[in-house]
Amino acid sequence: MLEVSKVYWKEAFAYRAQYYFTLLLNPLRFLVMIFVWGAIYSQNSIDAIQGYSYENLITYFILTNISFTLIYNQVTEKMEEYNKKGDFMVFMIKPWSFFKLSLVMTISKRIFAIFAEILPLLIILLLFFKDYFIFGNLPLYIVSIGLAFLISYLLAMIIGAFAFWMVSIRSLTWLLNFIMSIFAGLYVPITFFPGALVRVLDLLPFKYMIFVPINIYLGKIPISIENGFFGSVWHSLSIQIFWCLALYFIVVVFWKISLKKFGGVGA
Amino acid sequence: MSNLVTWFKYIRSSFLIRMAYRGEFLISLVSMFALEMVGPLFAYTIYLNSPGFAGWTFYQIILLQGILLFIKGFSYVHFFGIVWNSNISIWRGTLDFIFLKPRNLLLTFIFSSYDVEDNAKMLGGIALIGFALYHIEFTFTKILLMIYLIILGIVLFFAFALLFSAFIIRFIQTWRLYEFLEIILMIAQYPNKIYPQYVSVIFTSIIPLFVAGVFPAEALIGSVVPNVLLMTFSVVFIFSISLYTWFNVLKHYSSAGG
Repeated sequence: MLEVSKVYWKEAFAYRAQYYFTLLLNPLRFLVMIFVWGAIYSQNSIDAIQGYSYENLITYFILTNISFTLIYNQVTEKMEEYNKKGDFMVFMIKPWSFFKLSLVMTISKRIFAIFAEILPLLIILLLFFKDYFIFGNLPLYIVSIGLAFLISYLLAMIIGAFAFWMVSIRSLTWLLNFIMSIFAGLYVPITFFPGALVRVLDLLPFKYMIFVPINIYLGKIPISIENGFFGSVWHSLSIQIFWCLALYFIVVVFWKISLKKFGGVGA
Repeated sequence: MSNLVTWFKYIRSSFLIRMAYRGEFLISLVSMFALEMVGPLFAYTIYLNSPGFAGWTFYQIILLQGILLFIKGFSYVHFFGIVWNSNISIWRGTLDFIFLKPRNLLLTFIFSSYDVEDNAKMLGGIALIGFALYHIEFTFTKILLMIYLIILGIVLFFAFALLFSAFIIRFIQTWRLYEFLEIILMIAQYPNKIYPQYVSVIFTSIIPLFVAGVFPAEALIGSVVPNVLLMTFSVVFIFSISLYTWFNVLKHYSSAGG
């Protein structure tokens, strides 16, 4: 893992313009969301929307940026590239499977992202939004975001396997990005959606990638099971574990079937 | 062969290439359309939970976002591909092929960057504008002013494309420039009044980004009459700088790849 990380880090620093853009992205994205929601709260003199105060939303959007950065991966883009060029053959003769190698690479990239993308955001936070930020349940957030990372990775592996069937999977990648943007809670807490849609999203894995970890941090999901197990943090974590296992099972089965389609020819 | 015929040939070949994977092409049109609807859906949730942006109804915001999406779509289909093309050809060192062609360099760059898929963006923009106009009252004169500002917006996007392309030729491997662009365009999705004064001034006078959405929408709604002369001057100025920069940067192209 160390060797894979070293190669990636060297490459990342080799292209400085790319690195500087990386530094800018998260703070900019965060500021746009703050301007938009700031206007909504101040222009309409609103104290809270769906239980979210302005302070809650600032913390929410800092954490959506951090969470998205932590769970992000480029598995589908890489799968398309390898399959189009016929390069996927290389992974069949390596001692590690594509699943493991890609997982290690993704973790290395995310560690790099902590310094390149999350740190600048935290600096902005400390400089300008220190008073707004809510200090929440960090240990449970870390556990939850770890599980969210796995859910995101496994979903990408499933979409990635479609490369053996369709050759170009750019469109499916866009579709996944769309779903992530809206239904994971990247731009807006999903409780802002109409009730029927919220109930549908309860049955899908997407909200467990961003919305749930953040609400665990904010304390909107209770730790105590005095009011029952359902609706507690432990229930949310259990569902995250369930989705990890279910998606892993789908990945194993679907990849076994899909690999039979691979001819190494490219396209 | 005239430039127009050459352009049609590039469009035709672009369609034929994508038609090789028809199913995927159709899914990609739908996916791209869905991805571009994130902005309007976000606006919908805002208006579902609050009175929204002061002075703007939901349909007016949809008009603003539709105009921006149309300008973005039109640009991405017809010329914005020069940014991606620059990135790939500089990285691989294959930009030389374009220099060898017996045609105007910039035109060849533009023709070869035609992107079929981005028609989904353009059509999405038209659909949003149509949907909004159905709910908004307007006059013929206001429509003309809106169309003029939309054309200015397209010229501005052309200037952006040249500047981004020049940046890539100079610095090589700047893939995250696209994400940067998307975030900048996010700013243009909402009324300029919601931003602090300095942000509003920057994107009105220095980089007139709001000409690609807010001002055409305001021209139609009639709430504020944009300073058309100032807009025209700003856009022409930035366009001249972008042309100069692009041709100037090309002189430093080393052909070494990256």
